[in-house]
Amino acid sequence: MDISLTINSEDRRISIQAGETLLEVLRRLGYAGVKHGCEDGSCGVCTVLLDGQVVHSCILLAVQVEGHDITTIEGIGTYDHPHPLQTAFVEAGAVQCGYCTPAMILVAKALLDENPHPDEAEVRETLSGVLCRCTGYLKPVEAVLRVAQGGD
Amino acid sequence: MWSSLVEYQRPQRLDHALRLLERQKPRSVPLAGGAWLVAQRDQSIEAVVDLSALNLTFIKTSARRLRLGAMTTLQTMAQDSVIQNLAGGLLRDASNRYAPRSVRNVATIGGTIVVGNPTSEVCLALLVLDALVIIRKPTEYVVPLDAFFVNPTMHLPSSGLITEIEIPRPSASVGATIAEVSRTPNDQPIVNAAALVSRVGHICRTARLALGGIASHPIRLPDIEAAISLHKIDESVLTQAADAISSSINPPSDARTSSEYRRKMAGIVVARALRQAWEQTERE
Amino acid sequence: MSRPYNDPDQMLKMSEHPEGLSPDEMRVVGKRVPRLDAMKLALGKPAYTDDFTPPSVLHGKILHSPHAHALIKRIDTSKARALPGVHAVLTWQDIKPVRFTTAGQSHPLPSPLDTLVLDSKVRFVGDRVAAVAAETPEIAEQALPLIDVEYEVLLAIVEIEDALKPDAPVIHDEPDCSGFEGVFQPQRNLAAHFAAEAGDVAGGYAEAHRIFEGEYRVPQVQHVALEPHVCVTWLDEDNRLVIRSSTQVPFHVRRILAPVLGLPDKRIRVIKPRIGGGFGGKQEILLEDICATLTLVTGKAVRMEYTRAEEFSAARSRHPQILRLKTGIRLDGTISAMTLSLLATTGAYGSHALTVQGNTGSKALALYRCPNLRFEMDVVYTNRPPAGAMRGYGVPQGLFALEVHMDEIATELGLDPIEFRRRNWVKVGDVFPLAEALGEGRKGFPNPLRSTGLAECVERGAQMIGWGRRHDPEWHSMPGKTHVRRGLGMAALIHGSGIPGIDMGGAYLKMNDDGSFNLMFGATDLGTGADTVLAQIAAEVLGCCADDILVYAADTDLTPFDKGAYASSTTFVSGGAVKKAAEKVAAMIKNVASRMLETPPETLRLEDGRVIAPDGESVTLREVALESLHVVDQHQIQAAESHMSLMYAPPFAAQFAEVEVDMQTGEVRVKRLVFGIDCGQPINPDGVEGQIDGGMAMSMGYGLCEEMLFDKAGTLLNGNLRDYHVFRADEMPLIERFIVPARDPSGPFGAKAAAEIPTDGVAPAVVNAIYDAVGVRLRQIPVTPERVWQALQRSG
Repeated sequence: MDISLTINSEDRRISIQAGETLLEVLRRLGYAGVKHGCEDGSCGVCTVLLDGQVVHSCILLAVQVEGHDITTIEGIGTYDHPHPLQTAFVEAGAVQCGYCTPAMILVAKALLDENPHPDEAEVRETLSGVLCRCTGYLKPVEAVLRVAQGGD
Repeated sequence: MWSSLVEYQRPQRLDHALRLLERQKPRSVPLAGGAWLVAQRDQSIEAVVDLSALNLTFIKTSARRLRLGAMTTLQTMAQDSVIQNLAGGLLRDASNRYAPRSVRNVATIGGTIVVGNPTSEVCLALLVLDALVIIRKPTEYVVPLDAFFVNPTMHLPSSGLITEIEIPRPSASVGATIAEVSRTPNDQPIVNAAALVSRVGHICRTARLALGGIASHPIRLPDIEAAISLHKIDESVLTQAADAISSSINPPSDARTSSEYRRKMAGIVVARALRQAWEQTERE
Repeated sequence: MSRPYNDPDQMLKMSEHPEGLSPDEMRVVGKRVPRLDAMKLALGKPAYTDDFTPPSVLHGKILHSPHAHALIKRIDTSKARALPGVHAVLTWQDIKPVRFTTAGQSHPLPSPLDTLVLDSKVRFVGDRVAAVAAETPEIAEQALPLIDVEYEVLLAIVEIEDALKPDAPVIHDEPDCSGFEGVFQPQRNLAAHFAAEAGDVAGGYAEAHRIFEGEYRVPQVQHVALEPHVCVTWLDEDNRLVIRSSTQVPFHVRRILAPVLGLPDKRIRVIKPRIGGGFGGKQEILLEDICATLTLVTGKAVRMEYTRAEEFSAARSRHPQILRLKTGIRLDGTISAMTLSLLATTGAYGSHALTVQGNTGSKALALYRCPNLRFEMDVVYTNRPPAGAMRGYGVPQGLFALEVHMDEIATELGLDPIEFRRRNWVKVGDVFPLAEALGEGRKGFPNPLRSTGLAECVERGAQMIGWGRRHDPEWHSMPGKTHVRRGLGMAALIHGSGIPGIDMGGAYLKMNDDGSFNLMFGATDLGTGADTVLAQIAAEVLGCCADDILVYAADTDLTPFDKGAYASSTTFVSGGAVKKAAEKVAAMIKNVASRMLETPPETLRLEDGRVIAPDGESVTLREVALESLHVVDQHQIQAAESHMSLMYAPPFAAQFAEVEVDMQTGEVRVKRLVFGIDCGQPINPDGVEGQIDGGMAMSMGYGLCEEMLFDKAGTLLNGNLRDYHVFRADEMPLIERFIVPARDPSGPFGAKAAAEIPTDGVAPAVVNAIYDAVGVRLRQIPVTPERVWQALQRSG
C-alpha cells in the first residue's frame, strides 16, 4: 500500500507493507540515525518524534502514522547547523559508542520544546526512556542541563 | 516485520469496526496504540482494525463521574487537569510509574486494561477508583474493572471492544497512593498496591485496596476493605491488614521470587499504601 | 643471535615526553578533546555495520535449538529450500567440520577448539541447528520452521555442581576437540583446569594467628550492548571474502576463520566500522563464520543481525563462579597465606574459559602482599548459553569475593576496613608471586610494581564519601523512616593494562601536503574513544591538534595488526605504537625543517603546527610537507611502528558506596558512589570519566539486579529487557569521581588503563555497605530484595 506522510518536513509518498514497522521503513529509506536495539519497545534507540511527541518506531506499524509528521535525528541538525543538543552532547563528552545518542537527543529535544528549563530530575525522567550501557547517563544529563540552563 | 499481517483497516464507525472484528478469516484484532500488540507479532493474526478514527479519544467530566474514551493515551490522561486533581493525582502518578513517556504517548487506557499487566500501576489506580469498563460486543455491556480482571475473556470476547472507562468522582477528602517493592526504583515491581481512603472525623469511611503481582491481573481486596471501614487506621489495624493479606493469598513461586516473599511483601505494600493514603487525609 | 624488536629498556621510557614537557605543560594529552567522531554520531550519520548494506544482499537467519542437549538424528531441509526466495539452507552435513574457538585471542589460542560452524549435536537452548539465507529477513524466518529436525534428547546439565558428578553426560565427547594438555579435560566436562602455587602455603597457614574462610557466588550476566551482533559478508571483484562486522577483534577473526572457511588468510578482509557497544561480547566470532559460509555457498552478499532475544539466549555472557577464599592472618593483621579456588561454568562452549578464570586469580591475588599463594580453578561445561569475554574479564568476580572477604576479616579483627587493607595492599617494588604461573595461557613476566595511586584514591575517596560517618551510630538510622538503615562500604581495586608479553599493536603514520597526518592502526574503538585517545597521543608528539590527525582503523587490509579491544590494552599498548611512530615522524619532520631553517634538528621543537628554531624562526608543518613531498630530496614523511610491553603496570582504584536498606522489604538503594582511579596519566579525562560512569552502572547491575535465570530444562527465563533490568537514567545514585595520575614509566606519557576497572567495585562496595547498614553479610550477588530479606530473617 502507499501512504503519505511528512518526514523531516518533507512530504513523502511511500510504498509499505501492512506489517512493516516504522523503524524498518525509516531505515530502508536511508534514515540510519534510527536504530534497532530490540523488538519490543524496551530500549528506546529507535525513538523518533511523531507530531513532536517521542515514540518508539519499532512498535508502531508504518501505516499507523499515515498523514502524520515524523522527525528523525537527521531532521534536527547538520554539520553546518547542529542542534544545540547535538553540540552539547559532543562538548560534554556524552557520546561514547553513540548508538543511543540520536534517541537521547530526540527525547531531550521533546522535553525542552515542552519545558525549556527542566530540573535534573525531569531530565533524568526523560532520559529514562532510552537505555544506555556506556555512559551511566551522567554526561548526557549534564549535556541536556547545559542547553536547558543556557536558554536555547 | 509482522509478516503474517496482510490487512490494515482504519474504520470511522464503531459498527463497522465491530463487523470487521467478527471475521474469522482473516483473523482480526483491534489495534489501539499497538505498543503491546506490535511487539508480540503474533503470527496467527492476519488483520488489524485500527481504532484511532472512532472518536474514542475523549475525557468528559460531569459532577458525578469521569468518562474516558478507551483510545485516550496515558499521556493525554496524565496531563488532563481534572485527572491531575483527582484523588491527589493518583492516575497521573500511576501512569508515570507504569511506562516511560515514549510509551505513554501511544499506549491507550483501553489497551492498558486489555494487557492487564499483573503489576500495572494504571490498573491498580483504576481499581481503587472503582472504574467501570464499558464494552460493545456489539450491544453495550458494563462491568466493574475488578470483575473484569477475574475473567477478562468472558467479559470481552475477541469480537468486542472496550469503548469507555467510567470513574465515579471520589469525594474531595480522599487520600490515595501506590506502594511498591522492586529490585531498583525503575524496575518492574515484584508486588505493588494502591490504596484510596476517605475519611470522616478520625475514622476511615471507605477504603479501596488493590494488589498487584500475586495473580495474573491486579485484584481488589474487598474483605480487608470491609474490615477497615469505619475504623481508625492506626498501626495495629495496618498490621492486622498486612497479616490478613499474607495469610489469605497463595501466589506462585518462580525463578525470581518465592511465594513466601511475595506473600509477606503483599501485606507490607498494602499496609504502606494504606498508611500513606491515610496520612494524606490527615494533611487536609 | 637476533635482538628482540621490542627492547625492555625502551619499554620503560615510554612515558617520556619527546619534547621534554612535564605533564602540566602538555598540550593535547590530558585535555578534554571532544571525540573526533562524536558529531557524526550525534547527527545520526551512517556509521555502524548495518548502515552500509550492499544492494541485493541476502539475509541470514539461524535455526536455534529448543533443547539444551541433543543429537540431531535427522535433518531434512528440502521444504525450506523449496520456499521461494530461499537461496541456501545449511546443516552440519553441508560444511567440512573444522573445530575452532569463537574466542578472539592471540596465537596460540588458549581457548579449547570445541565449536563447529554447524554441528550434529546441540549443547544449549539457542545453539545453532541450521542456517538460512533468503531474499528478505521474513522469508528466512519463514523457512526456519520448514526445516524438519529429529532430535535425540540427552540429559542436560544446568547447575554448575552437576557437571562434575560421575554420571554426568559428557557435553564435548567429540574426538576432534582439542585444548591445552592437562588444562582441557572434556571427558570430565572440564573446559579448563588449572592450579598454581607460590611460596610455602602450608607454612603460611601454620604461621597464621587466625584463618578465615568464605564462599562467594556471582551470577551469569550479559553485556546488553545496544547494538546487537551484526555482520555483512560478500565476495568482492577480486574474489576475496570481505567481512564487515561489529567486532572487537578484526585480525583474530581473519586468522581464526581462515582454516574454518577453507580459505587462506590473504583472501579474507575484515573491516570494523563504528560499534554500538561491545563490552567483550564482540570479542567473539559469533556470526562471521556462518555469515561468510552462506556467502561462499551462495556467491552473494549476506547480512545477519541478531534480535535482542537472540542476544540474550545465543550470544555470550559473563562466567558465573563459586569462589572460595581461605586466608591466614598474622597477629599484626597482615596476610600470611591466601588460597583462591573457584568453580565456574563456561556454558556449552569454552570460549575464554581458561583465560577469564585465570585472570580472576591473577588480579584478585595481586592486590595484597602475600608470598604464599595458591590458586585453583575448574571451569566446567554446562548446557547453558556460553560465557565468554565480558568487561572486567574475571576480575569483577574475583574482586567481589576478595573485597567482601577482606571486609569480613576486618570486622572479625575489629579493624577499620580501610586500615586493614592499608596494612596489606601492594606497594612500589612488590613483585606478584604468581606472575609467571598466571600469564594468560602462557608463561608470564614477573616484574616489580612501579606505580600505584591506590593509597591516595582510598584516602580522598574516604573523605569525599564521609567515611567517618560509619562510626556514628545515629547516622545509620534515618529520621522519619524507622524501617530504613544507611551504610557505607568500600572496595580496593586492581586491574591490568594489557597482557604483558602477549598484546601487540601496530601503527602507521604519514604526512599530507597540508601538514595533516593519516594515522592508521588496527586498534578497535568500540565506543571507548580509542580513536581520539590515539590521535591525541600522536598530536602531542607532533605539536599539532588532534583534528589534524585523520584516523582510519581496524581494517585488516589497510591497517597494521592489533590484537583488538580487550584487556584494557588500547591506550597502553596501541598507544605505545602510535607514540613510537609519531616520534619517528617527528624526527623526519625535524630533519626536513632543519634544512629549511638551517638549524640542527636536535635543537628544533614542534609546537602549534610549527617547527620552531631556538632563535624563534619557524616553518609550518604544511611548509615542511610541501618541501618533502614535492621540492627537494622528495620522500614521504611516514613511519610504521609497533609496540608490545613486557611491563606490568596495573591501574588501581577505590570504590565507595552509600546505601539505604529497607529492613522490611530487603530493598537496597544506592544513594552515592565515589570512585577514585589511578589510571596513570589520563590521555582524555572526559574519556576516563565516561568509562568510570558506565562501568559503575554495569557494576551496579551486577550487584543489585542482573542475573540470567534458567529453568531445569536450561531455557533462559528472562531473555528480554523488561525482565532483565539494566539501570536507567532516573535511578542512578549521585556519582563523584576523580583521577589520581600515578604515572607509570612504561605507559605512553605515563598512562595505564581505565576501561575495565570501573566494573569491579560497586558490587563488593554495596555488599559491604549493606553489612554496615544492617549487620548482615551477603556473599552472593545480585543482592535482590528477597535475598537481603531472607538474610535479615535468618539473622533475627
